[in-house]
Amino acid sequence: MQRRLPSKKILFGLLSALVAIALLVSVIPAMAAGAGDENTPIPGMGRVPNPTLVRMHNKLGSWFNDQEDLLREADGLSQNFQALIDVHQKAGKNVTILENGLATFEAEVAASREIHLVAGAAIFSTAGFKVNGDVRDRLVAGQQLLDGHASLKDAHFRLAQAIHDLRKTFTNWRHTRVTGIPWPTAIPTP
Amino acid sequence: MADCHTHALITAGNIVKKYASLFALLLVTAVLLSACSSEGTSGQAVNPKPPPNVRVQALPSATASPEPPQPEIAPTSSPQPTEQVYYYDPTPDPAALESEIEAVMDDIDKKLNSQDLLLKP
Repeated sequence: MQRRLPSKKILFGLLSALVAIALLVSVIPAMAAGAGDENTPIPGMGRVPNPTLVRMHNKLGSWFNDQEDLLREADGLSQNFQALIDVHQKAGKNVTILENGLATFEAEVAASREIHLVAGAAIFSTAGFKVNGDVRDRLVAGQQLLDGHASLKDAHFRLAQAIHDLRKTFTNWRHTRVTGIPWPTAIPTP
Repeated sequence: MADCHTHALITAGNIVKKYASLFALLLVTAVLLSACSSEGTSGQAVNPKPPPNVRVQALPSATASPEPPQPEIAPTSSPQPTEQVYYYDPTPDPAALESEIEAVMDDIDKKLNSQDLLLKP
């Protein structure tokens, strides 16, 4: 009496099915944890719950909008400065200091705006957050917040530096106009 | 001789008898012709149709005719304003500009300093 063994085809099929099941069992929990488990730590942020991520996202969005207004205000300042240059140039005065200061300011504001736009692209991407503001993917959302924050801060510092330099130029020009002597750029050490 | 004469008369009479109708026709035709010719020489020819109402004018040419010269209108003097007109001087006041620049710089500085730079919940 001879026992019938299952054919090779059936054995191969069973084996493939087992492998597929094993793969699914190992991958699905990892995906679920990455997308929605609030206990999953985010690199650089720790165990931040999803509602906190949403709040941070809103805060960064608000910062972005405020900085957008500031950049627009800086453009207006640039126009006023140009008007001042035109007035004094028409009067035959030397406006070289003002012109150089304005050129530097405009370049710094343009650099700040570029970084600001990079921040906006990171913050308002829909990879980590849904359109309604909810978290879509915790890990991606966390990375978005980190990148957006870093860029916003960078743009902020550049704008602050631009304003500082323009103020310095303005003070220098006023001092020169009144006294005829340029404002000392460096304090001499005794 | 008399016979000859008689024979000629008889022959003429026979001919007249034979072509009497033809003669009569010729006679009537001659009378009508003479009547018509007398009327034609005495009267003028009349056209019974009324004269056509045709307006004779030049055909329009393919090229546009030049514009007739417009009569020049003598420039009239504008009415003199009775009230004094004030115009806006576009040149800004430098002092006002300087104070405005300072105010804007202060405002931007203030907003920049009030911004919370930390990423915290």
